[in-house]
Amino acid sequence: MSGFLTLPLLWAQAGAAAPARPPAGAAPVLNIPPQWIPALKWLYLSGDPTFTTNDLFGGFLTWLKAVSLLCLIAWIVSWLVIGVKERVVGQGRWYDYIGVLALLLTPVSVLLRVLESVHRIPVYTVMGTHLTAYTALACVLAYLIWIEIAIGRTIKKLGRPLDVAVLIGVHLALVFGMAAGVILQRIGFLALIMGAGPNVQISTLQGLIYGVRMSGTFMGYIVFARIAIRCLNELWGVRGRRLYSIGVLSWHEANRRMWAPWVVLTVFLLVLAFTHWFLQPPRAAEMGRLYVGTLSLLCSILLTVMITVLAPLSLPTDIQQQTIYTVVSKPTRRLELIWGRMLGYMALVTVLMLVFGGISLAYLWKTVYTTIETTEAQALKAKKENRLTEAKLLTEQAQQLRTRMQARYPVMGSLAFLDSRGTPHAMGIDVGQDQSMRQPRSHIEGATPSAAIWSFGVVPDPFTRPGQPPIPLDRRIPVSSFLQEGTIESALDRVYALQMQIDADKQAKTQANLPASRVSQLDAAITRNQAELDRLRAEYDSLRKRADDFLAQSAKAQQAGHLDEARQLKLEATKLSSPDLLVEMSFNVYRTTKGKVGEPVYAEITAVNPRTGREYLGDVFAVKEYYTNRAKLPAWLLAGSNGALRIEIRCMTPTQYLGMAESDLYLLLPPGNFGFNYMKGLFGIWLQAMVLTAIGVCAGTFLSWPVALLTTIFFFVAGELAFAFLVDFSRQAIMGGGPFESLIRLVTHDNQMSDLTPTAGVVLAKTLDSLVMPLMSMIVYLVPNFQALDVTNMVADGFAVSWRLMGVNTLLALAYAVPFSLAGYLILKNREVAA
Amino acid sequence: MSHEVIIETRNLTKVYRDFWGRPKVQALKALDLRIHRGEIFGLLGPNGSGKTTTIKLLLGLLFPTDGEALIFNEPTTNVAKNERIGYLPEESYLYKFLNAEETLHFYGRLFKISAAERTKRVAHLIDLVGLSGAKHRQLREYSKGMQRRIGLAQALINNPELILLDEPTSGLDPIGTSEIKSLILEQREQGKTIVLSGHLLADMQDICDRIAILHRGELKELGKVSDLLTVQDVTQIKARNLTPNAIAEIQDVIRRHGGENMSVDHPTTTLEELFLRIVQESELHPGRRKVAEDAARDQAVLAKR
Ligand SMILES: Nc1ncnc2c1ncn2[C@@H]1O[C@H](COP(=O)(O)OP(=O)(O)OP(=O)(O)O)[C@@H](O)[C@H]1O
Ligand SMILES: [Mg+2]
Repeated sequence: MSGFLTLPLLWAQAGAAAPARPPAGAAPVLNIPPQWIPALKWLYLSGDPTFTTNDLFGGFLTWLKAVSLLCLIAWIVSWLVIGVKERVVGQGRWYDYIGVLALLLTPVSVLLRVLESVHRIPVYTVMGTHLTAYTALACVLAYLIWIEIAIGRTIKKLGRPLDVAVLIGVHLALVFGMAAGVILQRIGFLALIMGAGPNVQISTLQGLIYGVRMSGTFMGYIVFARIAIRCLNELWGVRGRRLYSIGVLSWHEANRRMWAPWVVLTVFLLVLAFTHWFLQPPRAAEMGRLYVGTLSLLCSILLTVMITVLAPLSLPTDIQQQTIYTVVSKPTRRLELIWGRMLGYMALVTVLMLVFGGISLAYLWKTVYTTIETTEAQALKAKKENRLTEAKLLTEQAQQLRTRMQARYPVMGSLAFLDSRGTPHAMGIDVGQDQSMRQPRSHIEGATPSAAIWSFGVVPDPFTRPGQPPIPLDRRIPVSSFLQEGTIESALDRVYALQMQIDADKQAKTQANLPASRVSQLDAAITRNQAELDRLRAEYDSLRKRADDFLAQSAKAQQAGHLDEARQLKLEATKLSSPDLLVEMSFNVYRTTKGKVGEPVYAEITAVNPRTGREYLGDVFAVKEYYTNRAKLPAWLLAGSNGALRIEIRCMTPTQYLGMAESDLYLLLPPGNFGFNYMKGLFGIWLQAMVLTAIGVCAGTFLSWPVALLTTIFFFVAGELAFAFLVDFSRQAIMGGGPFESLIRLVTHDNQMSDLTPTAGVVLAKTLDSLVMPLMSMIVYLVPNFQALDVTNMVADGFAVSWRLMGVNTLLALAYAVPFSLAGYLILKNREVAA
Repeated sequence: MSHEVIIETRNLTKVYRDFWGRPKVQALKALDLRIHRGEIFGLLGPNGSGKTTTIKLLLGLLFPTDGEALIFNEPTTNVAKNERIGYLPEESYLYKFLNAEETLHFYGRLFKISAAERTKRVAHLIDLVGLSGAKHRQLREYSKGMQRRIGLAQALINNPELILLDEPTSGLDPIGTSEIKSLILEQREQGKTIVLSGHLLADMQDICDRIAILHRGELKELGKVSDLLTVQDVTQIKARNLTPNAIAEIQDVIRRHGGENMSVDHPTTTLEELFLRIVQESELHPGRRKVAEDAARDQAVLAKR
């Protein structure tokens, strides 16, 4: 999800207002009839650029809003460019002077604002408003007038009826948005979402400004619809055979002109041949992780570099060498030129990926698995020679290696705490320790009733705000994956389930004034289920008896000295019950000075099935710091649980604290195949390549190849390395100001926190920053979040990549690739390929 | 030749602009043309007169600065009509890394042709343009003439109704040229419409039904080849085995009837002469010139009155 969740964040900076909160549960304040509330919510959801819901639909909506806004901007800019190029505007009429005035006024007004903020000039106020606000307003007005006239005239002269319709639609949207803003203000909705107290009044002007913000989104929708219609029209004409044909062409081009796959493959093999020279794991147990990480990084680098070079070169050479003439004079759609290329390159990436994946796996097999086997052999040998500490160490090492070479499916619960008095909390104690982990950890105190409780099943969100209805979280355990068919526990599970059904039916019967037909229906169900229950009970008993028999026989055989037979019989018995549940935990320990350093801290694990009330008291164990503790829970805990379970951890050592976050404890499903998981990890790289292909081909539609190449490289680097930075940047959350101010700090060795003395240079830098920052932050909308697509870290850590994650990532990749490719189509359609 | 109009241009104008939108070259000025089904139409003109520009405009590779062009009554930006068009560019801009067969299959797949039919056509066309021996070699190894031939083959892959050939014979040997000429004539027999550009006048004269002569983007002459080349005020008398006496007698008769400037030379009026004359005249008197068809139309209008 992370990828989608970043989008609303990005969007949030588009407006200066505080992040909007959902207006849930606050309806009574509004003075409108309640049947209007849903419509109101929809208006707000669709119009407010910063507000979104926290699910896939919300992600889509955010995407739509971002794309729409970009469409609007592109629409305005393209008409302005056409107007200037076709000499409709920019010919020295009065409105052109207004445009020039606006251009000149912008830096002046920003400069005034900066001077004001660094106290170089006093704050002048005219009629209660800052002077700088007036200059800014004048600027905006001048721009508006010029843009309005320029676009109006250009469309009047060169536009087609549809363009005129869009122009009218955009204006209607503007009016609609402003009206909506004022209405929202009038009915008190704005006061609600802006979190204003009862005494604070939101003025009509604020309502109007808010309306303008909303109308930006609505105007975007209009242009988006116009563009979508055009794209759908084009889509209608797209044919598979032509896509295939152009795909084959790109494939041949990559192969025969660029030799790309061969180069890439050679580099891959060369690097692989020397890998073990320069890859030295810091700890023996880290070897698998390091190798897997390195190999997937190598795949990723080679493939993305290949795409970065191939994709942006293709169309420009085609146009430059004029080979495109023969193609576009055939019934080839412009979109087919783009998608066909993407298809060809992605086919190439797919083949290379399979080859790389196969070779990598073979290589891992040869290195890591051999290491595991030798380590295990060494451990065995050490044990035989009675070097027990060493044997234990080696076994542990082999164990760690093996863990990483799996595809573990963690089942996560929801974490809540009990404090030392036993009252529940969403968080434990904050010991003020460094919180550089993925999630903030909170702590429980040793030898007190305080506990960390992981709940599974459908559980209330512990972070629900007090006074609000709890939001249910679905953290159910997939019981059927743990309790195997035909085992004692599985039979027990069915017994419980049926018993509960019968109880529920009996309960239903006690209800007053039930119709007779319903009563007889329930009676029938109860008798039927009772019979079935008896049968299941018998089955369960017989299974248990068989298991007990096997165990008894085994014990007898053991006594008689038939060890092999005893083992065999014991195995038969274990086959009848489901394997234990594996729990993995990684806690950290916060030592107060009262404790002794070096002495282990102990913890205790208990588990309860909340539906049957059966409880398991686990062992007390020493917490391994920086390593993973494992515990086993008996499978019968899950019988009748319907996916619910509660696991409690207590710290046993007095005055010591145990720190944990939600993801620090999980149940493990039976692991999946590592090789398959590795390929799923590579799929993330495939998605990256797809986005990059779309960007490269799109850049090639209007740039010459060197520029297109640079653009693609920029996008890749920005998305891969600097995405988080860009997000911070666009939210103006970077310390030390914008690029120019930072430059000054760099030169003058000033730290990032201090206020710079407002010299002329500093003022200039701040002014430039204020002009550049908004433009730069636009880039954030365009740069794809490549890192979100990369899941190879999960693979290297030995966790399974879930299908859900892959689905979400695919959507995220498409959310970038589709708009880029369609933008390429629109550009290609509107340019002369022979000019 | 029927009266169905295949290509129509109205006031078609093209000004090449630089990056800033400033006009650089006016390559075509207000061209009005109608080309009918089943004719071979020649676009003539000296280098840089706008022939290629016209063809590119017709194909939508360029957008007109003013005016419009219709093909099959559709705007040039309509992609679907390309299903019925074949185009040979000025130079054979082909993908050098494909071989002849792959090239034709690549282009063939862009059309709505079944795979079996495509395979058949590819084999036939390779044979037709005489490249059977080289069909598995990549085009980068081809000579200019060979590239021209494969270019022609790709223009015919969809069995088009309208064929636009930009200087089809450039780079071809005399045999190749005459082969192409007969191929073009064959296509006309099948009812195809062909537009060709070029400056090899003898070739054009042989095969074109109608020609247009462009000069610096302006239409200077337009009409049937036979009409254009008939010099109305000159009468030619051809005879064999005349004695000098007989010639003197005939001269006498002509003189008596007021004929003047009589010559007994062999007739040399060719397209070449016409072409040179028009180009010379245009250099002397730039501007729009009344073309033969305009005159014919005027006369027709007069006759109607
Ligand atoms: N892409 C272009 N940019 C600018 N000017 C161009 C471009 N293409 C052609 N021209 C100009 O347009 C005019 C007409 O060119 P065009 O190629 O149509 O001539 P042509 O009749 O085909 O000549 P040739 O017989 O040499 O092929 C020329 O002056 C040429 O310089
Ligand atoms: Mg030419």
